[in-house]
This record gives sequence, C-alpha cells and structure tokens, in this order.
Amino acid sequence: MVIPNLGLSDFRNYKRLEIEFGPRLHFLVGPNGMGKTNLLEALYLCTHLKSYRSAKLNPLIKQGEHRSLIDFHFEDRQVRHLARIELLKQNKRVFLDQKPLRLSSDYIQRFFSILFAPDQLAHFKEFPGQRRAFFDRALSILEPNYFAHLKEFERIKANKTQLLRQGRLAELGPWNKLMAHCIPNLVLPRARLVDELNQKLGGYFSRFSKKGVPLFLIYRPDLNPRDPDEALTLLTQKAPAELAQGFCTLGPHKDNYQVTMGQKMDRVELSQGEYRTAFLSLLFGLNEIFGTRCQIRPLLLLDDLFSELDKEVVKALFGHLEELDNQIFITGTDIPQAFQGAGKRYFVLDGTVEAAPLTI
Amino acid sequence: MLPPSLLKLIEELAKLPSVGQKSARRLAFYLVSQPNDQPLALARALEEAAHNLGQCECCFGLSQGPVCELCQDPRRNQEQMCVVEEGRNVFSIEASHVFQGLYHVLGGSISPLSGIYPEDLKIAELERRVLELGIKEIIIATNPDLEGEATAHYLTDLFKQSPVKVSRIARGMPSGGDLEFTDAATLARAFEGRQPFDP
Ligand SMILES: Nc1ncnc2c1ncn2[C@@H]1O[C@H](COP(=O)(O)OP(=O)(O)OP(=O)(O)O)[C@@H](O)[C@H]1O
Ligand SMILES: [Mg+2]
Ligand SMILES: [Zn+2]
Repeated sequence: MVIPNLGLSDFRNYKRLEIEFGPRLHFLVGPNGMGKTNLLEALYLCTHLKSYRSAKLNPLIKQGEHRSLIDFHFEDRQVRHLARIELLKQNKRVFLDQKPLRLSSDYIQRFFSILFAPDQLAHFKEFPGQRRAFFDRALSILEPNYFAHLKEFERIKANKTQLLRQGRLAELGPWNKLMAHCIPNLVLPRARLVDELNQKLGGYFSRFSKKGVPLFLIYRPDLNPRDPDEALTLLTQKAPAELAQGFCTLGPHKDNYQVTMGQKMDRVELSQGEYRTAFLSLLFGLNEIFGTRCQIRPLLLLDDLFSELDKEVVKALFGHLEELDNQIFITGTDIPQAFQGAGKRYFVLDGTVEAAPLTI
Repeated sequence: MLPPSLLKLIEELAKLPSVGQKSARRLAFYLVSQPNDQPLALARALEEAAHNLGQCECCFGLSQGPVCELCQDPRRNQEQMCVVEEGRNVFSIEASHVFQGLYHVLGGSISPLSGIYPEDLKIAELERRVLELGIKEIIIATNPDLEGEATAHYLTDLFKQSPVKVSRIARGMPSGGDLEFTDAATLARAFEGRQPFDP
C-alpha cells in the first residue's frame, strides 16, 4: 500500500492538514510535542482503522471539537482508492471509494502497517498478550483462514468460560471437543511464522548489531498437541482444575513468544538498545515475509527511531531502509548524519507540516 | 402527525425481523392504500395462523392441530429420527425428499453465551421419545455453526451408552450457514454423505 496524500481535520493537534507523500522514504522532523507522532498515528489508522495509542476515540479528536476526519488516497495493486475515516466521540465510520465500509475486518485483512514506537515496544516487551496480539494481527493477513479460526476460538472460549463460571462440568465436553479441533488451526500457523522469521532474524540482527550472536524468537505454545485427539485428552484432564479457577486456563490464548540473544533471554537480560535492535530485526523479517508470502508491502511507521541506538546501528539501518521499496515514515527530533540527503523531509511545527525543498 | 391506527400498524410491522422503520412505513402505507378486502384478507390469514398453528405435542415442530401430519403418517420410517434446531428446518429437509423418518425439534441450540443450556431445549423429551418409540437411528441435523456443532457433540455423548446409532449430516453446507437457506440439492448431498459423528 502507498498513500500519496493525506488530509486531516481536527485530528489530535491538527486543525487542518493537506499533505502529499512520495512512494518511499519520509522524515518527519521537529521539536518535542509538535505533532510528529500524531501524524504517524493517523497513518497507522489508515491501515488498521484504529489507533495503537488509544482504544477510545475521544482522545483522537481535537480538543473542543466533536469529530475528526482522515481523508486519503491509497494505491493497492495498481488501483487507486479514496478512503475516509470519520471519528466521532462514540463511533467511527469508514468510507471506501465513497461507500460505507460494512465490515472493517475485510479491510484490515488486506492492509498492514509495521509500527515501531517506543510505547508499543515497551508493551511488546512487557506483556505476552501484546505479543500474541501482534502476531495474531500479522497472521490474520498472512494465513487465509487464520482470522476466522481465531474468532471461532474466541467464541468457543467465551462459551466454555460461561460454563466454567456456572460450575457446569458435565457440559464442557462438546466445547472442549470444538476447542481441541480449533487449537491446531492457531498453533500451526503461529509455529510456521516463527520458523520462517527465525530464518531471517539472524541476518538482520548481525547486519544491525555486528555482534555475531544469534537472535531467535521462541514460540511457546501452552498446548502443543500432535492432533485434536491429544488436545482433547489434555483439555479433559484439566477440566476440574479449570472449573476450580472459573476460567479457561489452558489453550492458545496462553501462548507465549520470547526473544533470545545468544544465552540471554528476553527483556530481563537484554539491554534497551539490544531489545530495540532485536525488535527491529523482527519487524524487518516480518516485512520480508509479507512481501514473499502475499505480495503486501506494509507501511513502515518508525516513531522516534533513533533514540537509544548507537551510530553504527543507525548506519546499518539506513543501509537496509534504502533497499526497501515500502513507503516509510520516520520521525525524530533531528535526522542522523547517516541519513542526510536521503528521502523527503517534512518539518512538523505545532500542528503544521512544511515539506522541505528537495535539495538542501 | 400520523393517524393513530397507522402509527400502530407501523410499530407492529417494525417488530418483524429484517423490517426497519422505513420498510415498516412503506408496507403500512401500501396496505392502507389497497382496497379494504386485501388488508383484511391478510389480517384474517394472520389471525387464522396465530389461532391454528402451534407446537406438535410429539416432535415440537410446527403443527396445525395437537399432533402434526408427519408424526401421524404411518408410512414414515418409525425407527429413524432426525433432530433439528427449529420447526422451519423440518420443511427444508422435507423439500429435499431424502429423509422418510420422524423429526424432533429441539427449539434452538446449546449456547451458554446466550444463556441457553441443555435443559432449555427439548433434549429430555428427545431421550424419552427415542426410548418410547424404539428409535434405532438418530440423525443430527443441527446447523453447521459452532452452537449447532456443540449441540451435536452433546447429543452424541448423550446416546453413547445406548444402542441407538447416531450420525451427523455431512458438512455439505457452507460453514456458518443456516439450514433454512440451503437449497434442496445441497441438503440431499449432505444427507447422503452423513457420517458417524465422533465414534
Ligand atoms: N486531542 C487532542 N487535541 C489537541 N491536542 C492534542 C490532542 N492529543 C494530543 N495533543 C497534543 O499534540 C501534541 C503533539 O503530540 P505528538 O505526540 O505528536 O508530539 P511529537 O511531535 O511526537 O513529540 P515528541 O518529539 O516529544 O515525541 C502534544 O502536545 C499533545 O498535547
Ligand atoms: Mg513523538
Ligand atoms: Zn410432530
């Protein structure tokens, strides 16, 4: 997906903004608190139809206003579309080519933004649920039926939870059977994606960090049955314990993903910068898989990319970003030496955005 | 301001499934603009249906009279019983002519999320009928959605210890679909391809 132009009305600190973009690299530069991240958030909304910073709509609307509009064109497989996202305090409406979009799941299964943002990285680091959500969202695009299976699983789980709360042990059987059949539909694609990522991670990581230690993503399924029968056996064994707890304690909703670097594990042992580099490697690996598996080029939204990264890493990053043909947006308070002269620049000042002249 | 009688008609029509305020208004205006005998014929048909139609005492399907025609028909196979969710499903299956046995209508499917549990359905009645009528084979034709599948699993487990043969119609139908909207040919295929369910 490529967004050639974007219009904002009453979005965050923007009153009105009309802005044009190129097909590749963009820098959004400016002092703190000027609206760089807000602009990135608007771009994220263009693919995800929701914010990554706020589950509520109200904070997205400019203070004192009652609705905001995000208008944009986008190009997808050589076709140009017009889209509008209208945010009201209580609800949101999306128009695609001037027709109301009925099912946002149809839309978000076609488009994707790869986001790098400090808050999101912190959440990813801290919470297994955030990591699951991250991979689930990617898999919903990468694997044809994944989204449907995920929804199915959630519905089975909700029904089962209801029975567990009411102490209806005898009625769990049918739902455990359905769950047992559903589990491999989630676990196998997850494992497949992690395997594929692991083939790419090392390359990116050594390119960025020059450390020569292997980087791996570990997928730890809570249940990893050989087949639905085995899953059912395990679920059945656990039923009394689940009943005592009153919720579903077993299943893919408890799966975990972890990052290891050499002997070091996860957030506990990895430094800020190391984790950052590891996460970026993961994002770029994912970007590659989007391209090879389904010819999708996500938007790359890299917020505050350069903080906490040393010069060498930044230089190596630049090398890679130059090679990509994604539409890329990078924010920062200034542009590092390595990037001087590259891409399109925009100066963000208090809710206004000024495109810099092409040559400096 | 609309005349009160018209307003009332619109409100009643708007209660019907898939009829919104707009269509309700359109229908109401259409009805009252017709010659008198036409809306009255509709009213009489409604009244008659409401009066005469009820639940069959045996199969809990839709019936004109206490026991439905299907339950009274001695030519039907008295050893096979097809279990469906709703009364209207019986007519879909009848239209496919693949099944000659008796029916049992559950009155829905198990759905804890919506507060529907086995005791809210005609499941105890099913057990009783199977025993009393000496049914040899049960064919489960609940909808192929999650709740329908869960209900099928539940019934299969229920009859596991009994000598009754239990099968589930094959999934010849689109997943997440509704029996009512399945054409006769697809239904026929689904019946012919029925398989042991969770042996
Ligand atoms: N709904 C809103 N209405 C008006 N202003 C808002 C709204 N939401 C956020 N803002 C303001 O927008 C400003 C810019 O925020 P943003 O996060 O985009 O800054 P930034 O340019 O990314 O800064 P930094 O370099 O510190 O990350 C903030 O001062 C914030 O108070
Ligand atoms: Mg910011
Ligand atoms: Zn009957």
